[in-house]
Amino acid sequence: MAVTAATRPVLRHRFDVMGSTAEVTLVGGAPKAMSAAVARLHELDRRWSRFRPDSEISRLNADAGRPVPVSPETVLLVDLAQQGWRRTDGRYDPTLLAAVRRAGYTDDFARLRAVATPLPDAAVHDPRTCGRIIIDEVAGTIALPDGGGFDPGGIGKGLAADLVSADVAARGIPGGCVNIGGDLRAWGRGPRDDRWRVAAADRTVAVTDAGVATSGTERRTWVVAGRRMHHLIDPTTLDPADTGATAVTVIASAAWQAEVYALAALLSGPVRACADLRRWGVDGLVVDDRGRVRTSRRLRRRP
Amino acid sequence: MTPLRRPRHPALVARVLAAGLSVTAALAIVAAMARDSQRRAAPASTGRTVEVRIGEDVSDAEARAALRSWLEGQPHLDRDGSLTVVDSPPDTTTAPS
Repeated sequence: MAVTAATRPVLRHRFDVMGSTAEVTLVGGAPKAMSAAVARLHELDRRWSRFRPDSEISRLNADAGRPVPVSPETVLLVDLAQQGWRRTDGRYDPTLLAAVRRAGYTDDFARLRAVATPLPDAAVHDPRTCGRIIIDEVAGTIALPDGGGFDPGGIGKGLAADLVSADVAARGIPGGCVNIGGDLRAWGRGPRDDRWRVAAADRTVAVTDAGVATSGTERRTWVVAGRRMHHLIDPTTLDPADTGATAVTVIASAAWQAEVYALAALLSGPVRACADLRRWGVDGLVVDDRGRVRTSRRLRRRP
Repeated sequence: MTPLRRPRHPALVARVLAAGLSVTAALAIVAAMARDSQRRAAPASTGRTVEVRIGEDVSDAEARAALRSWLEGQPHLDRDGSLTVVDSPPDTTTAPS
């Protein structure tokens, strides 16, 4: 008898990692594969968290200006982040750490509290900073420009979803989805058939073998001196973005790409975002501050 | 068509494990690609196709190249049916948490 998706056991596990709730779903999976996925995500979190003083990202930021030995995963993370910066002409910028901190995002979000202190004076950021990161893949070192700071932010979650998905697939699992706080990678068989159905804004999108990510200003908010802040910094103002777009979802071939383009499109604002997504070659949904949803052609509802 | 199977050489497995994530992930990607090509008549056209054979020894450089190619491929999903809006309940959500 043929084994269908419906008869395959589905393992699902939710847990906290990378400052978010993660959900790993394995179709036809084994408990050992699930344990490995969970362990792998915690390992990547230990390497990439900017809130752990012993993480590789913290060491990079502390030793900016000098080559710092890091793991292959971190070389890959920084390299892809730099690629994202180039592909979006700097709209996605992972080197805005000083502005993120200035906005008050100085601790793991679970520990973040409202503060009454007004923001310090305007931050200064050289828009060429990301392009000046020196990556030596052979030596396994990264050197941030002197005074620079790297914030793995959403791309870390997206890339982690991609890499853990690859690891799990290597164990022979026929399908799965690694979802880290909304940044997800789905591959192979879904729980019901060969597709994965993903809730995005006001609709459900069915994908096969794809990365999906949403950048939004409505979650991860806090208050500084009575002003509502969020973590998505506009590189042109160095303040939390206020473009009229409140959320952008992108579907791409990898989760790290989806994350990069979602944030960049959110910074484009609702009017330009769909055109930019088209120019970058990805599909997506854009929600504006009046709740209206704009989409790329393939994500429109059928009449 | 490339048959899908786990790496068959213990030495390769050991070397993969010793080499760390990149090689492991690359082999996984190769496995996923082979599975994908078995399921579909034509290979995916997302720029991910990499000529590495499952079950045969690959160098670290080949494996790393496979990983890079997979991650850095064209972002657009242009396979037929790879992206549609449906009316059925979701399996997961991209809402940030």
